[in-house]
Amino acid sequence: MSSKRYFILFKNIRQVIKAEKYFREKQIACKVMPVPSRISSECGMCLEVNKPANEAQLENLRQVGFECSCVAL
Amino acid sequence: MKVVDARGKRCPQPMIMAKRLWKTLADSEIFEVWVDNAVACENLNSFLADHNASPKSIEREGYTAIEARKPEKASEKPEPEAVCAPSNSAYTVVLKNDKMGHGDDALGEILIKGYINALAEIDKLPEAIVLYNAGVLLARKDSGASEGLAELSQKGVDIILCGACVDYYEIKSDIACGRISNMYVIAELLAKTGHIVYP
Repeated sequence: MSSKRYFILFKNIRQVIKAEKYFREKQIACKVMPVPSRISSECGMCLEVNKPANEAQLENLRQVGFECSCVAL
Repeated sequence: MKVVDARGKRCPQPMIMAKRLWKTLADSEIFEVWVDNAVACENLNSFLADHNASPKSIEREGYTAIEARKPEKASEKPEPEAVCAPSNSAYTVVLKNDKMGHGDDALGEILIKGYINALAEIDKLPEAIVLYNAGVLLARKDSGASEGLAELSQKGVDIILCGACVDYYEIKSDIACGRISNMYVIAELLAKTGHIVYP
């Protein structure tokens, strides 16, 4: 079992707020987390998900207006 | 004479060892605690003086022996938990709202979720988290924060919800974690904690 963690990063905190709501509506499990300091030293939030988001899933998010990427740590 | 050898132990270990011994002592029994650092020595003297044990520090080669006597009727005061330097002391987190800070509500909601989830990952966990007023809404199943609170609970953090607040918001059936308690328990907890964090 992989011990990796997967974080979806967004353009800004406003998008994180909208995305968290969107994920809950779609019943996609997610956890609001500070952006890991390995990725950014700035104070930001992101969403941690259980599985890596594939490109198609990210594309779906982009189509509803989110500028996002998935990072595995 | 009973002796606790806490030499080489860092705070709060000497205090924990002394408290264990304290519980085993008979009235008027004399005992010694051996320590070799100033912080532990100061904390033990303070603890023992508070409990009328008349501590006396005796300097020996390379360490200090604190000699004391348990009084006939030992003080029933609650034991002080904040015995170390502030950076090491026990603390309690109080969530008095379901948002973090003042300003935009949506921002405040995302910040408090991030805070709780981050708190579950840091090394120094709080002893307890008290939720009152709108803070209890964070313990609801669908709050987005209850998973983090449950994780903290699993790690031994006491999650305490104000019962009056749970009743006021009518969320008892939605509570996902924590124990419902009353203001006496909350008041006692806040009074004895080392310090309180209001995020």
